[in-house]
Amino acid sequence: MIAFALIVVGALAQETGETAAPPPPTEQAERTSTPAPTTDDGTAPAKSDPEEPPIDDGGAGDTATPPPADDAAAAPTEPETAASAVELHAAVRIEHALTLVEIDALLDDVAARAGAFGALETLGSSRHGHAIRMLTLTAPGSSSAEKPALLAVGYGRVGEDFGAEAALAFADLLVRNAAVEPYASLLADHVVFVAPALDPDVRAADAEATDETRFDLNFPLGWRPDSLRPGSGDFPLSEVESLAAARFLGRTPNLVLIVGVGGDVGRGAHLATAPWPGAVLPASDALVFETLAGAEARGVALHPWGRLGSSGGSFFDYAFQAFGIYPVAWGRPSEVTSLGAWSDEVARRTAELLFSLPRVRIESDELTELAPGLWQLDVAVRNAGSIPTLSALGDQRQVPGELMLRLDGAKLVATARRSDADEAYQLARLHGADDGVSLGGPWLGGGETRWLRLIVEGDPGTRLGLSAASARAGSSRLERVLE
Amino acid sequence: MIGMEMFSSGALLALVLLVGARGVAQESANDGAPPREVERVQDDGAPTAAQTAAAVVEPPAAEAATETREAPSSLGPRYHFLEDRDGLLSAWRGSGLVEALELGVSAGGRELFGVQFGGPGPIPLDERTTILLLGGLDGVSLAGSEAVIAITEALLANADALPASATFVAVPWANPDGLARWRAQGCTDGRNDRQSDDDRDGRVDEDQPDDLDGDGVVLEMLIEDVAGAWVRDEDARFLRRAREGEAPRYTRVREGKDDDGDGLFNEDPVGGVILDRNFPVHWAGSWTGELSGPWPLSEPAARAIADFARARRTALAFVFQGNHGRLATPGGVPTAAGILELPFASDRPAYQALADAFRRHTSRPNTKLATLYEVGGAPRPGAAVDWLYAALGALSLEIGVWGPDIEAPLASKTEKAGVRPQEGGFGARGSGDEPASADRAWARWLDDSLGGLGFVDWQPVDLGDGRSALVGGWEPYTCSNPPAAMLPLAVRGLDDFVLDVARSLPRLELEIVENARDGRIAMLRARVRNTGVLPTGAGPDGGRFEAKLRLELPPGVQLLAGDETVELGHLPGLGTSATYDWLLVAPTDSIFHIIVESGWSPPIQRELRL
Repeated sequence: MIAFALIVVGALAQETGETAAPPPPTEQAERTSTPAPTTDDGTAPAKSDPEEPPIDDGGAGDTATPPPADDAAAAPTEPETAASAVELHAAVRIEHALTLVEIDALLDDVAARAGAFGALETLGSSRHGHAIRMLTLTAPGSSSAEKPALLAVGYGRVGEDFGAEAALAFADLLVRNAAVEPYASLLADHVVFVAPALDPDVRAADAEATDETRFDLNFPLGWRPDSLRPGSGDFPLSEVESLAAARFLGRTPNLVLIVGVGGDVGRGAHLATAPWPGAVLPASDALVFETLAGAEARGVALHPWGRLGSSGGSFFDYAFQAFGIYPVAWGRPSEVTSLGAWSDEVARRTAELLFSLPRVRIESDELTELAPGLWQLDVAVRNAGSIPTLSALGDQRQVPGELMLRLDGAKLVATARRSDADEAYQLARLHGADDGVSLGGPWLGGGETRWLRLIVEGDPGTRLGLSAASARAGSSRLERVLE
Repeated sequence: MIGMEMFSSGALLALVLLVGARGVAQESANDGAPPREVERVQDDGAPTAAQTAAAVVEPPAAEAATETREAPSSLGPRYHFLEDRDGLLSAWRGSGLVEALELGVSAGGRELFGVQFGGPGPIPLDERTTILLLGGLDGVSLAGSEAVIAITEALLANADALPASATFVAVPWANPDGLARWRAQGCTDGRNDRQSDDDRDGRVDEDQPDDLDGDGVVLEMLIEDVAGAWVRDEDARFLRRAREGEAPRYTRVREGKDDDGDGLFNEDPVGGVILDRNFPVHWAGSWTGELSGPWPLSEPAARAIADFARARRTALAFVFQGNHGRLATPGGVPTAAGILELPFASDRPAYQALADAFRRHTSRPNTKLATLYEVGGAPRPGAAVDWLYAALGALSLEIGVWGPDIEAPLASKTEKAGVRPQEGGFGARGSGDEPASADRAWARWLDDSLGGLGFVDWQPVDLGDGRSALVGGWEPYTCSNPPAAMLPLAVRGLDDFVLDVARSLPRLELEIVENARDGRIAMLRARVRNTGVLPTGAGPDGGRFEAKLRLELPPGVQLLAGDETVELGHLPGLGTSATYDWLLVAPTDSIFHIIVESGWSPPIQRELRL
């Protein structure tokens, strides 16, 4: 199964009293018609003119410029409307299945154009000496480890795995629009990892470079010995490629979503109805998967992990079962001849998935002085994405991702909580020396809001700060002057 | 052969052991076993957060204790440790048959010491059928290490009897970190030296057991807790599950103070991974509470053993560990959805043959086959025995060197007591309301053999902050590992068993049933016979485990009928394959090579001129 994983880094807006939510993207049907990369000699594709203005096909009729900033707060963040605001300026149109040489050349090209937004790294070397490469895209000047992340991957054979092609088209899309909203904000607040060939040996042109052990059967969860499942290896992570991928997952606690390519072209009957026996799929996570897949009920199908038909031991299995990262996969193109249009659509719609990622926001309702030096601050802590700030399975696996709140600038005396705006505040507690603020649970569901009432002591004029942070939902900060 | 030294007087033995008893560390009833499942699992089998967070029942240990705790050598048999490797190797090399192996190092930097040897013969040791002998992989069973050493010495002393087609690979200290810690502290859970934040508080190895009462040993500790799972039985040595309304109740932990002030006791001691949870088959992630490592074979020692076993024709793998005194087949996890049922039914005759040989040579009373899960009474995910069998097709067994029944057949006694021996060894899950039958069996052994010595009565200690606890438990070198003087008894017959099994390995013979020619047409007919007692392979059918019959065609020869390669599956012991025919167009005096291959044996080849 070819996996085209898109790492979408959830966008987290940093607030200082005003929301700065990126406006929903607009749709754009056509792109620059840069020639497709050459194949036979592996020459790098011609770089597009950086000064070339974005092409408006006229047919879409949507403006390429984002709405004014003062309208941003009212801008919806639903994927459907988000798609309409994206201005797509993909320079790369991939019309054929790429060889490893072409993938590397394209990756270099996109990285070069990314400038300070991009960084190439090598996760390791394959058994036959090919570099396992990854491009990281994020705005410079802040730590990528603290931003929610999305991974786009491919790891199959030429002509079978179109994840590489779609991943590169997606990377190019982001790079092209790095200075344009909403992508500027997205890249400021998120990290996108693009790894088009996690198993470069099978992607290489020479067939004899392939190994008997398959990358996508060599991961620990649901693994079976090679004697029972040929191609899985004598033990999990026996291959340098799978070990490199596993290590990457282990050291990237901020990964939220992996998007790949696999499953049938269309929806429905040919897909598995449940994951393999012994796999764990909490009900709430199943709902998240179905919501993601159902939200994309148009064009190319998006398949949730549990319906991809893995019998265990796959990269996706490991990502979800060990780390609670959500893997989904686009359906493959129906024909290679439609690859260009398919990769365009998948890249664009994967970009739309970015808006589903968890984003923690703190919003202030009311600040009241109860008595001289004693204040009451009511705040709403919201997950602006449709994906939870931590998957239920991630919570079970005790992976980092708990939503932590901290108060500074004033002494926290007491708190109370409510889960519904119409309820009274309850669950009060006195804090004493403990300045930790609890939301009553380690994570927020998609779109969920919880309200906190903070009773603090502080002098008038003091600047109070409340910070919320989660490995997978970024951070948010609210500041108020006590007056 | 090892001569068996039996002490005729239990009182004399008790006296001998009393002299040495205070020089050894003490051990708890859980000594040698992983934290008891019964303490961490609620009735529905799932661990509660409270159980997982509260009492980690590990055998008591004190990191500060450094003195050697084995019985004095002047009294006879003794335990050997890694620092004895040079002396042992030197002695063994005197046979002219032994080669040292470079297997690697442990997480703590200790050598993974191993040797290989075999009967004189033309086949290099590296190419022969391999019999793997691993001692103390659980990091607790020093007796397992002694068993491997004793077997090696006995086999080398009887070199003429060694088969020329087999290589014995002996790794006495397969978990050198764990065994070293057990030696220093008296009792641990066998974890290696990998640093680990067991309680996920951001600190590593910060809350270790302590010798609270200053008696020089670290035992168990009972903390009175209204929500505790345990009450004391009428026999003060035992604890049992609390019934509704009973009090006082206790939480059971290792002796020590709450070093990190989190309300838990000794929940994050030094070290991190139990090697025998680090193997791939049914590996359970650390989120299940198992000390299994970040991924299968993450630990250098486990990986080294696995790589070595993969590189060889590993036919038999014996892991000497545990205090159940029995044989345990693969099957560390009870069958359920997504779980392999091990061993495969097709291999049960082979395992029965091993069990029969074990009984003949050791005279142990209970050699009924049971799985790892059954002998221990608790799941054992990630066990080496399971992976060696399912992934490599080796007939693998855990051999409990020590057990309450070792000294003398206790079948009649246990029957009278209503004990069901098949419940397994120490650490077995009890029925819930009663102490495990193994506990009672150990208590009887201590009473009968050591005159009741070996258990420290529960004594109060002050935990500070107005809290108190009870400290006590089983002494070391009682249950998990025998007193040194009883080592000969524990290893009795194991060398004979290993030699017998080695001599029962499959031996393939190629029989040319017929070869004939009519002009340019030639016909060959052949079959393969296994003259050994054991089958030609184990594990699932297919792939590299199968025996194969292959005809190499010389140039100019055309095959008219028959297959160049025939997969024979697993030939049973003393079994014969079907007869296979080849019809060929071949010039006169064509030379054919017929080859028989199997996963366990070097190929045999026969040349035929036709």
